[in-house]
Amino acid sequence: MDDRELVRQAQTGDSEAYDRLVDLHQPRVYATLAKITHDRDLALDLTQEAFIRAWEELDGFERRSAFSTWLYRIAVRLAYDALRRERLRGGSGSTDGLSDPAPTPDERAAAEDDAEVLRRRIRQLPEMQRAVVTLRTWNGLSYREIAEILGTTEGSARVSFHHALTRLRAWYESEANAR
Amino acid sequence: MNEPHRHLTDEEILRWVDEGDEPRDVRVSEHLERCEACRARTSGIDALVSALAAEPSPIPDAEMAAQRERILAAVMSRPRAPVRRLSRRSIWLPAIAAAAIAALLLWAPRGTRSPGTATIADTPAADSATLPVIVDATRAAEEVAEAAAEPAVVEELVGSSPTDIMLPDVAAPALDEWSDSEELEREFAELPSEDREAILTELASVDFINDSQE
Repeated sequence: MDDRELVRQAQTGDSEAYDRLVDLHQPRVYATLAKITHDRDLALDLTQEAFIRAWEELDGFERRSAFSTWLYRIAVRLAYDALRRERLRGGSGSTDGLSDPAPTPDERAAAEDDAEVLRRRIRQLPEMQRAVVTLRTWNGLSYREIAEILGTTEGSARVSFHHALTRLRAWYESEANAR
Repeated sequence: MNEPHRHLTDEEILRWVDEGDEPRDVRVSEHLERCEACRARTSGIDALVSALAAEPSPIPDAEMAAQRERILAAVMSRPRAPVRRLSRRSIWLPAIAAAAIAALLLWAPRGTRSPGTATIADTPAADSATLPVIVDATRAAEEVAEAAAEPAVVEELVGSSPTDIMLPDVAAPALDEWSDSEELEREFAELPSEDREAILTELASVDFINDSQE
């Protein structure tokens, strides 16, 4: 049974059909949120919240887009809100600043692990760029799908992706030179 | 691109890497074949994209299953939000409001206007005394349209909750979808007479222009 039929059944109140939808999409939704937030526990919480929110709003889903697109839209919005709250609290959330912070001695030590460098730098990207980078590189979505999920235009999504890559590459190279 | 000494720009490289499976820019591909420096830069970006695409740490299946149980428990205990579908009457309200305001502005007898204002036809050029009235009225129509989409306002206007009026599965039309006044008139004429009367009664009780003024 495909998503469309499962959604139709779930909209009639069939919780088993919805459970099947959760089963099908939960790993990917979690992974997407983990990539965007880089926080395992937060991603788990948001995954649960996304599925509960989607259930609550399921009657409003008119099946004009794929269920996964609609679900990602809910999940990514939740991630945005969580990251924004984190940033306002002064946590490790992203920054819109364009400066390239100089690596500290601790950062240099951690730089031995390229993946860790990348994770740390991604956390410094603005929420929009983090989401676009994840949806484009990991989920492999088209700019049209990304725009639909993020509520923006294809052009804006493309520009965000290119800006993110440019910044990450600059940071990456500066880390490499500092080693 | 084919100039011997011009290297690719960052944007050209980014676009080329990003194009992936799509047909790539042949000129960029040709340049990369013969320019080692640009090839190195391109492979740097390629490596970055590959690293970004790496799988995140998976969570154990048991933890995933436990979460699924929690989701299902929550789903069973929570009611779903009702669909916010509007009745034919409330769907029509903003469109008719806009049409009524336009009619008032354009065709009302001159004697009903306050001194100093003029119709558009009277005014050969933009008249500063008239323009604010039109702008305010347009804004008022937009506000009425927005307000009518809110359940509380719909309830106030039509006397019943939108959750109680699950009528046809149609989206409320945006104002610009009703720009054809003939179509508007025809559609309005097709409404049940009690709905037409209710809309006109409701319109008569709303002072759009004064509501829009701060």
